[in-house]
Amino acid sequence: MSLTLDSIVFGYRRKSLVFDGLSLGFDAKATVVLGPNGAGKSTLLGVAVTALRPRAGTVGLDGLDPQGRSGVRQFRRRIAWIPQHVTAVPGLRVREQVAYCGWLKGMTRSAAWDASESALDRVRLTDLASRPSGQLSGGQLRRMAIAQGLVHDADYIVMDEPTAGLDPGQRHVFRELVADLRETAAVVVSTHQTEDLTSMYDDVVVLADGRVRQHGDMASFLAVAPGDTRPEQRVEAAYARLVVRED
Amino acid sequence: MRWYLAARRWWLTVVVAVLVVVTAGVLASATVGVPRALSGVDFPLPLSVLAPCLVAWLAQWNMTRGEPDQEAIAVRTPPAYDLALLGVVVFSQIVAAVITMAWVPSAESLMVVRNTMGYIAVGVLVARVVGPVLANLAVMLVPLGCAAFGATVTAAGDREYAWWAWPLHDGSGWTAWVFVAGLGVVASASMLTRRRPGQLRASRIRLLIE
Amino acid sequence: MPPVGVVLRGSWAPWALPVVAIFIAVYAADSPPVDDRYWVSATAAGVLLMIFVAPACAVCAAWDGFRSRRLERAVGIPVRSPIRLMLNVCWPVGLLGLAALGLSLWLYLPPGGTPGGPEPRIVGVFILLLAAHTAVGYVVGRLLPVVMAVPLVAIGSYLLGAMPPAMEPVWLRHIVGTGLDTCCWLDEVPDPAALWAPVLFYGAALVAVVGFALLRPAWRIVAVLPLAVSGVVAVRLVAPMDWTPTQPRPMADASCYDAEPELCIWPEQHRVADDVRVWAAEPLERLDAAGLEYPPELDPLSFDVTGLDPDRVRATVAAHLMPSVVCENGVTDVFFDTEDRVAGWLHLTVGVSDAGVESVIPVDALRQSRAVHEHMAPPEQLNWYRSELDVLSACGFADPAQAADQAAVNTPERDE
Repeated sequence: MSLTLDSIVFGYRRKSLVFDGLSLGFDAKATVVLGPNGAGKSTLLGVAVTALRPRAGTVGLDGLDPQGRSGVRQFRRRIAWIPQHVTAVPGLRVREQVAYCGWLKGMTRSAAWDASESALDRVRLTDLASRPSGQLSGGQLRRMAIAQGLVHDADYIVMDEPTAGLDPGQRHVFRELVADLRETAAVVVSTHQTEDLTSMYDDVVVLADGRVRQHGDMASFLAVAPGDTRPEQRVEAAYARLVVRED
Repeated sequence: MRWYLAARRWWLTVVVAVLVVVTAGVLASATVGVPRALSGVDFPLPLSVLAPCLVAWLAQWNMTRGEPDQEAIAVRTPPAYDLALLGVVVFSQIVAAVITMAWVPSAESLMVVRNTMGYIAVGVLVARVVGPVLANLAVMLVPLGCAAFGATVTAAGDREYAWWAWPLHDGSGWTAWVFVAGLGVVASASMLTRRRPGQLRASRIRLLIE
Repeated sequence: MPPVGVVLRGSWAPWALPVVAIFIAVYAADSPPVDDRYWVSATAAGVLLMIFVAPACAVCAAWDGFRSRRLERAVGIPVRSPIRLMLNVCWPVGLLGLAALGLSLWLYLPPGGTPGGPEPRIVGVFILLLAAHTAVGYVVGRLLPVVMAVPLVAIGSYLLGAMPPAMEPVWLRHIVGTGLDTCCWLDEVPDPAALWAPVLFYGAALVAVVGFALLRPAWRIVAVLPLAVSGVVAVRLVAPMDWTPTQPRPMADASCYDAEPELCIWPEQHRVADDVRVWAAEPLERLDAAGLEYPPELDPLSFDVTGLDPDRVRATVAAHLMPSVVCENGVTDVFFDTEDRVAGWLHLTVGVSDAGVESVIPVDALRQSRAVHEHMAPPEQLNWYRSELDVLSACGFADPAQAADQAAVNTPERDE
């Protein structure tokens, strides 16, 4: 399985480009995207899931080109998106909102309703299923967002800062969830959390100023760290070296 | 569809749309004084010209309710559903207008239907560029602007309107209907077209709901 | 308090200011003051421009209300009070209102040398009006979805300014302050009731907003009470008033000259005071020559505009001689026709120019007045004038007895 971005040119405003010819492929079972604030991580993932439309360049998933209505639909069926910000839809309960996302992904109403139960169960939110989504706390909202992404059994699950706002216990649940998900799907996660990266992810992408500073497996990423770095500090040292080196 | 409807709350807009038609038919003579530019004279703007703004505002509100990030990458096309529901709103107004005209014979009801369509189209088009909040302000300025700049009262007391001041035209005038039909087509097409980069982002829309 | 730059960057007020300024510039020419050399009039003329300024303030405040709500969600429960929060984000809106108010005052600025300054009571009403619209806009912006809040406060604020002047009962226009647009001729000042009514109305709206912000949701309905109470009081204040929100200007403001009749000059007319005395002498001599004596019981002669010329003075002398008749049981059409004829004859007698007479007297009445003035001998004219006065004093009925009969008919019988 491979999610590829080829020669992407993207900018929110006319003159300032976030990416100018960026090419990247996510072909590992679990990839983490690292980078400082404003590096373009959320934009990269937004383009990858077709939430944002590049000015030039193509996105592909296992050779599937999201062009034309049919192509876009097939592409989106196979990909899930868990954005950084979560919206509680007024008027919907937690399970309804999760099911609504399944319905948006093309599932029938009954299939989406059934799938919403197991998705909520995977993020340990079943007991709040009938609560209005607007009444959830920040951490609960984030778990609901993850459930929204899981509801339609996608091949590729793209998550933008999924652990922001989660307490240590919930982060532990999330790590278990990623381990579980990678059995059936490929996972791409952008994050600032460096703990347990080495055990969770196969590949690392380091992004800064709209450019890929490093893309490779975990071993080649850790090799960037100075030789005298203690093992528990290698991730941060490698990251700092990559980001600071060219600044 | 059930959750889509629960999130968007189109029923409220349908109810208000019908009420606006009935109210405009019953209160056909009610007006609001709008100062006409560079004339020093107020133009009595009929409520039937102003009231459809409420429907257009609600339509914008409906369309901002939902899960913008998930809808941005949905397999189904929420804008197409929105367009269909806008059609339901207009259809309900047409039915209400027909019934109202049998009850209170006046052309106001037809005007309301036409203006509702026009205002919704203006709202959709402006929202594409500057977002729904400013779009709703722009919708409000359409009838007020037409009254201020596009209406004249002759010495004999007759009212004349500029060709572009379509909200003020009689319900039977074809020019205004053509204008509105054109706006409707362009707005519908824009709803079914994907946004280009740099246009309103889902994350910005998210801030507007509730 | 957040940094000035941060608040300004998020506020709509800086963007709204040029738009409002354009509206004011376009519409200022359409609603000139009643008398552009009288500070009270020049100040009051701004009320119609507030129809644009108030919605702009309300819209910007609604946006700020939305922003502050969003901010609270982001940062949690704030330490500052709701009022303090409102002031912290809404001050650019206040500046917008003050700038717009200043611009409207500047556009109507009387010529240099005009005594006095902007009427502080009217300016106070305007500031309160803008503050109330701003506060209500802010609260609506916090309560409703911003997509609805912004247009709703815009249209609500606009309708509050634009609709009452065209509506009955008359007190509606006075209670929201738009009645001040007809204030004031030089011999008039604002009726205190017309100032207190909007002060009560908008003041209570402000109190309601403060109450709304401070009270718990279950008690917020109580916040409406002051608005209801002060609304009732304000209506009672202005209910007796007609369309004009004015009362006679105190004669203490004028400089009066001992003459027959007593001639009073307002401070704004001092530049032409000597001329006025000369101009007033001529029509009085003409009256004397026609055999008409200026009744000593009449009020002192004063003028209602600053732009005086001999013709205007003559016309004022003529108008001053028109009898004021109280007709409790109504008048007939004959009364109005007679009134026009008498006014025409008086204008011709004191020597008002043709253009001056034609601008105030209907054509048919003027033709008859001219016939009397040009073809009758002075004593006959005097007799005609006195007989016409009798018709007027009988309220247009043929004779006083008939008037009494008519009065009896008009008076509803009481059930004993």
